[in-house]
Amino acid sequence: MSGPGDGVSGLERRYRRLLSWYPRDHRERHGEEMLAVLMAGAGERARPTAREFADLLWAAVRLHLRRVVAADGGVDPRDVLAIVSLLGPVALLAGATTGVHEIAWWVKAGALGEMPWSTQFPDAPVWVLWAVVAVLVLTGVRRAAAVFAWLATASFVLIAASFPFHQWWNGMSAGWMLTGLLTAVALTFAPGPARGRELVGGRGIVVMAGTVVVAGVLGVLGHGDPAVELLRLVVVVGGTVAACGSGSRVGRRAALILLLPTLTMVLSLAQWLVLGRIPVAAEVALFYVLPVVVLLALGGLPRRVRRRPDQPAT
Amino acid sequence: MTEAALREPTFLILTALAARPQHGYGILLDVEEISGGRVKLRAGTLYTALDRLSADGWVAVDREQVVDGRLRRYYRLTDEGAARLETEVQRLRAHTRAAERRLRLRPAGGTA
Repeated sequence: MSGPGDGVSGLERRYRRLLSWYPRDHRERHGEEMLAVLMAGAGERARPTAREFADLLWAAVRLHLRRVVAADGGVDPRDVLAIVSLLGPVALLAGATTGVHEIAWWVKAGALGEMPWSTQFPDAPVWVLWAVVAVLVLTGVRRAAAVFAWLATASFVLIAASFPFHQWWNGMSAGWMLTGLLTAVALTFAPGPARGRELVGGRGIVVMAGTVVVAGVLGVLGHGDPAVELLRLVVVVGGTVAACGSGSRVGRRAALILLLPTLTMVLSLAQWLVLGRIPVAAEVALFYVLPVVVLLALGGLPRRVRRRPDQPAT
Repeated sequence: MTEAALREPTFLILTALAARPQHGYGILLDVEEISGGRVKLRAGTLYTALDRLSADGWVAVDREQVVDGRLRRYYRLTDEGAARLETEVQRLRAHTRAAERRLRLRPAGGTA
């Protein structure tokens, strides 16, 4: 038989269990306070009522949804872009992997001088420009970095338009194009790499650079091997999220922008499996418009949402 | 742009905070009293609303107390929240007046 004291502690335990479904930040801010309100209204009850149970669970779902779409104002898109402006130029260097693989092949064949650059590595100037941007960002020369970022983005468009086999409107190319464009935007308009460095620290840069190197080596040495490609995918996703800060909502959204090439690659596979070939206009909508809409919905890009005054962005 | 009408729980929570800061349980009791016992908010709904109202800058934390070992946080209406509540009151008043005027014009005994 249980006494009244056991009843109260049992009730509190049940309420705590229900409150554990709430978002962490909400729990930390309001958990004890909510518990006090629930206990004050419980009287002699030993269990939450069915209505209370439903109300608490439904509220938890709504609060989680508000955080997913950043409607609570807890994500500052300027900080997201600050991280992108710092790590974007480094992350973009992974785009040169296929070209580096080509160079490696011609070096191995002892015929690098005969390599037809315009067909084997037509976008080489783009990645050279992004390498310049990365150096400028890491040495703190932001304005010049922004200028070179726009040059790199324009070069990508120019090369894509000049080579018909370079399908800029779909697949990974769309992801590189979008990430490049958003990095250029971030370098020009966001608080900049210095703020990004405050958010992710030197560790973030080292992790991002390490991820690009490992992904590049795997891509060059294991090119075409499904197991290695899968491993590469894991390295890119894990490394990018870790570099941006997996424990922070701002960091996770920045990682989403830097992972756009990976996401559009997966989207491309899904397209071929489900839809097959579709008109170019539909591909532009799928590979450019959809990712931007998703980023806007998740609060990864600036939009009109009030920042809550009592809560710092996380 | 015309602001959307406040939902009833939001209106009642802002009204409960209009005269003085209140803690969560106090708001629940006051909302019930203001609505004549018709609206009984529960903790989940209240704190979802407070989360949203804080994000909108309409309510803010006033102070905190520990009573009988439990945290009690008081909320107050901000100036922005008071202005929004006042706008809503004006809107409801205009609707009420229109309804009263038209009811007075109604023929005695109905329209049958």
